[in-house]
Amino acid sequence: MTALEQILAKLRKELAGVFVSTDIVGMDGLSIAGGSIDPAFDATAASARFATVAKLGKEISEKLQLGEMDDLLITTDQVYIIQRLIGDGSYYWGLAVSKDATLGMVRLLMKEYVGEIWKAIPK
Amino acid sequence: MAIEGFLNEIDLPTLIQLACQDKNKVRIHVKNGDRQAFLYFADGNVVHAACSGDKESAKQEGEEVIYRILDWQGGKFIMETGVEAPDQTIQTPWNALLIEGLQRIDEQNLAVEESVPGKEEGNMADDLNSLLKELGQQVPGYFGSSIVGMDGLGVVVDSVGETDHEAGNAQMTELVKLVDSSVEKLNAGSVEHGLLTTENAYLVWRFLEGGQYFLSITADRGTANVGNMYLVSRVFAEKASKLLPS
Repeated sequence: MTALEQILAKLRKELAGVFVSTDIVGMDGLSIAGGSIDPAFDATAASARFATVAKLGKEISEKLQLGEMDDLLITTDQVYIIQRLIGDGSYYWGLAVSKDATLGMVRLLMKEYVGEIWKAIPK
Repeated sequence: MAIEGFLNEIDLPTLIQLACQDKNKVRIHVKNGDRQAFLYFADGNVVHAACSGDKESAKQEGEEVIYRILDWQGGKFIMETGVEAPDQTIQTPWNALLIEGLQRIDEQNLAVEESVPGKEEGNMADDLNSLLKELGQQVPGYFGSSIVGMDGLGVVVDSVGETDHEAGNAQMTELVKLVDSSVEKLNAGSVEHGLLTTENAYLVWRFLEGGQYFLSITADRGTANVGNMYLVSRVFAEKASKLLPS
């Protein structure tokens, strides 16, 4: 198991009960690590689209002069999907949790882990 | 005995009223260009009406004639007493006839006013602008808001300070569309709303009913409260949906 996979496994444990899926994706749309509890919920298949979503979020922040993009939260009738740029912005981290999750806690957890994940990405 | 006059001197409702007060047999002959109508009165009521010369009301008789001629602008009249009605086609009391007729004219005028090009759109834009101003008062640290069509064009934009919300509309639309299709691809349900958090701001968006437009709100991250922004976006998206054409 790679360092990156170990970090994601640890995070999954912390989010037990609400975890749905996670992925670390390059801005080229290719996933480098991740996993899901539900095979139907295939984040890797949508990672290229979500990479464009992250890029657009970044562009909008710049265009509207709102400062650097921090994260993007999408609420659906089933899950929360949070995207966060990693390190220099060449990767993003996508995480989906069920709607039973305490959103504030999840975002805090992501903030804590994001530095560790960036360090673990092979450069 | 016959009295002649012009309808711009004495209007039809007044003439009808006078004829009914007379309680005798009366006939009023009204001419308006090529159109003409005959109204017959007996015992203080209109008993018969017929008109001709008007394509829409050719050979028309009864109450509808009264409703139609009340709207005639100008023309001549001849009021004669002692003329017997050839038929009885009206039973409704004269005052009820006048009320109904005048109501119809009001409704007709209103419909014409509403169909004036640009009028409805103007009102809608004003209403939406006011709505966004009202929204701004509910959000601490409010930077601005907009209602954008899925073609990327802003329907209304409201901003305070220097942020140019219009500039981001096209990209916001791309983002909203892409999020929607990505979530669908992911089998993750349907999108309720989105939140973009930046160094300085929160940007919340939400679809309006029908999914043809979305509402976006931007506010200062240091002052605004995300929960409040969600709530405000929900309430005002509902209000805006009612103002926009479906």
